[in-house]
Amino acid sequence: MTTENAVATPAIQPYKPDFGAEPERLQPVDFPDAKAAYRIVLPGVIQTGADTVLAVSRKSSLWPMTFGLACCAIEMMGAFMSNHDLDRFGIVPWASPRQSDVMIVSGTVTKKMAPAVKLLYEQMPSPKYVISMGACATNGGPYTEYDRVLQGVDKVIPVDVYVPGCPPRPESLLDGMLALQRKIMEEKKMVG
Amino acid sequence: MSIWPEERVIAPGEAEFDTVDMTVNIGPAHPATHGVFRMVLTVDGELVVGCEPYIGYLHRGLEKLSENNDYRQAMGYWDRTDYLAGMACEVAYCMAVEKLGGIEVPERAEYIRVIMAELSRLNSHFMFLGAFGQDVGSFGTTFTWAWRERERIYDLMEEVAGDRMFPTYIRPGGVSMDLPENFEARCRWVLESARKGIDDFDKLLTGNEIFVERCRDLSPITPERAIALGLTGPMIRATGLPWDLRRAEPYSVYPELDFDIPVGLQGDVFDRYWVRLAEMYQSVRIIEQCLDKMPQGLVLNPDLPKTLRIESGECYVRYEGTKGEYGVYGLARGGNKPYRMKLRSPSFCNLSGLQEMVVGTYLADAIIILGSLDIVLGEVDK
Amino acid sequence: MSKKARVTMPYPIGKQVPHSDLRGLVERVLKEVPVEFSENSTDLDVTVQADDLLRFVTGLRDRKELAFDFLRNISGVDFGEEGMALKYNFYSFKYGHALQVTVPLRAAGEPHPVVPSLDSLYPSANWHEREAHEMFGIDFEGHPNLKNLFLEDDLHIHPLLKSHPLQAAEILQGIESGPPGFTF
Repeated sequence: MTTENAVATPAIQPYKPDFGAEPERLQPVDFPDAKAAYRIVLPGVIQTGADTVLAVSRKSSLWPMTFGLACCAIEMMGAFMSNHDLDRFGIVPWASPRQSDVMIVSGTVTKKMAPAVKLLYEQMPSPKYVISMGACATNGGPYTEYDRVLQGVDKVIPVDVYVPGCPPRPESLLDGMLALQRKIMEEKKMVG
Repeated sequence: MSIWPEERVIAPGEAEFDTVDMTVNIGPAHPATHGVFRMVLTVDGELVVGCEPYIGYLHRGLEKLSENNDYRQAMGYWDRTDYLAGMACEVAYCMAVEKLGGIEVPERAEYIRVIMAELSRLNSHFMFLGAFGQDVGSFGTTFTWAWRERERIYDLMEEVAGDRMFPTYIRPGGVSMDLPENFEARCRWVLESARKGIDDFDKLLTGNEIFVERCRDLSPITPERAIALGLTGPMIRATGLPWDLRRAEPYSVYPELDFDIPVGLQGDVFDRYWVRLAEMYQSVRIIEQCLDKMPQGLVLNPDLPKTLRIESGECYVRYEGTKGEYGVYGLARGGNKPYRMKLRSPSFCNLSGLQEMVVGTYLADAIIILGSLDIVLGEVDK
Repeated sequence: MSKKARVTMPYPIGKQVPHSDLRGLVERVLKEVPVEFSENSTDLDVTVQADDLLRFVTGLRDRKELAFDFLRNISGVDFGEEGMALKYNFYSFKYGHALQVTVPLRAAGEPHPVVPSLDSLYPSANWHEREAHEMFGIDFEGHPNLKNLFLEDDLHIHPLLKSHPLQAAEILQGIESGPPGFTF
């Protein structure tokens, strides 16, 4: 055996895979109107997150259960009437608790009336909010020292917005409703 | 045999048919905008056979708190009794304090008080027209019209006194501030708008067939029964008795003013509505006369001390409130606080006759009888 | 529309009857009842004992020279240890005169002071007496329905007595003392 016996076998070729032709690279698409595709196909459609949609629909159609107890009820009615219209915000006074969203406690809550307030609050379906309107519903108001007066409606039901005044002007109640709307938008990411 | 099913059914007679009287609770919270008032009706079908009113859901302790507060501080509780007519109650309370202490009121202040009281009366009667129209069936039209005029009167009160509903503008001894310079022009504009507003209501309701059919001949009362039950104000004027405290036991500058007293014929619900409507025209007339006759001068008694102390005194001041005789019984025994101040409230006394008026009518009529009493729960529950 | 004649007021409206005339009238007509007279800022006041009250008030209503057909108001007054009083205000639609009747009672406490009820004479007294019973603890004998009016049905307190306290206003709601380092 000699070294001439280097077999002239051919070397194994390295494997070169065949990718074929290089495909066309994706270029940035240039839409002249910068609209998403679905908006060209279906005009009039907005896309946002579901929590924003729920929060916007809840705040835009707050139906208060008019729980007018005393003098603040008169200013509340004044806020619903044509001069300081609340209907333009989607706020329609609705007498029944089963179909209303927000309970405006306007007026002094006495200890005789407190069970009825609690019952009406529990009859409202979720999501529900409470606006305590006026000084009497906040902490008893001018009548706080009399022992038959409940010192604030938040002793029996949870309150979201307190509107001060004795009685608060209709613009103040409007400010309270807008604050409630901001609160609804803030808590849109909370579950439940 | 008839083709109509109702004629084919043989109705059983009274003796064979077992019925049960139903109890209907018209609860403290209801949309009839009359406040927290509860009525338990026993009905036989639609006919009311028993009625039990329950009040006290707004009992806030007016009298107890008045005994523990200064004379001027206590006024803040009194104007919240009749919360539809804020300044009228302030005038009544201040008259009581003045009688207790022998305090004189300058004449210009008296005229201003009369203007404010009559504007409050207009306010309250507009609210009555709105709420009563809503009870009878015009679901919102009358209420919105009423509030249009009320907002104009509230704006005027805010220009004069500082607040819409309870300005505590009337003080013992006069009024706290003088009127602004353009008051007369503004007031005449508001009165003209109020006149047109009352005309609107008159045209809508008085000749309206549905309204008249519902209200005419419903719970009529004789004058003697009204006196025995303690009804006052438009309730007793509707029965035909021309009794108005501004004429019968006059106070302030009413003897110098010229106005009529409208009366009804039989004391039914329609008459009570009609008397209140006609009274509003008279109130407008009174205010116009006051604007013509008002003298110049002081508006608050200058000799009043900083703290009002009254040694002794007792009085029962009767004032023609918007709903009837608003009586203030006052007793002073030294110090700067009243010893006892009792409110004889017209709505309380008118409401005590509800049981008698409602029994024997139908359920829907019971609601409009309650509406025609024109009660305000701040007064009833004190 | 009914054709009933309009009722007119027989006395000249607005003319006030002087107190001395009214005093003479009451003394003359009801001389069998022992009373004391006094005057306050607005009315003539007559002090009657509780035992004579029913007789006196029946006379006020039924005697045609007096004709007090309208009971306006019943107020209770608590004088603490000196006793209590009930004040009745009457008015006559026929003559236009007004009268105040004071009934002195003993001090508040158990057993309650007793006064005859005027409900049989004046139906307007019904609710006023219920209110006085509830606020002061005065018993009206002969009243058909002496239940609570403003307070709950089962609550037997008398708020308008001077011995009844007020409740404290809450300065910091739900917090008895302020946070550390803060004094009000």
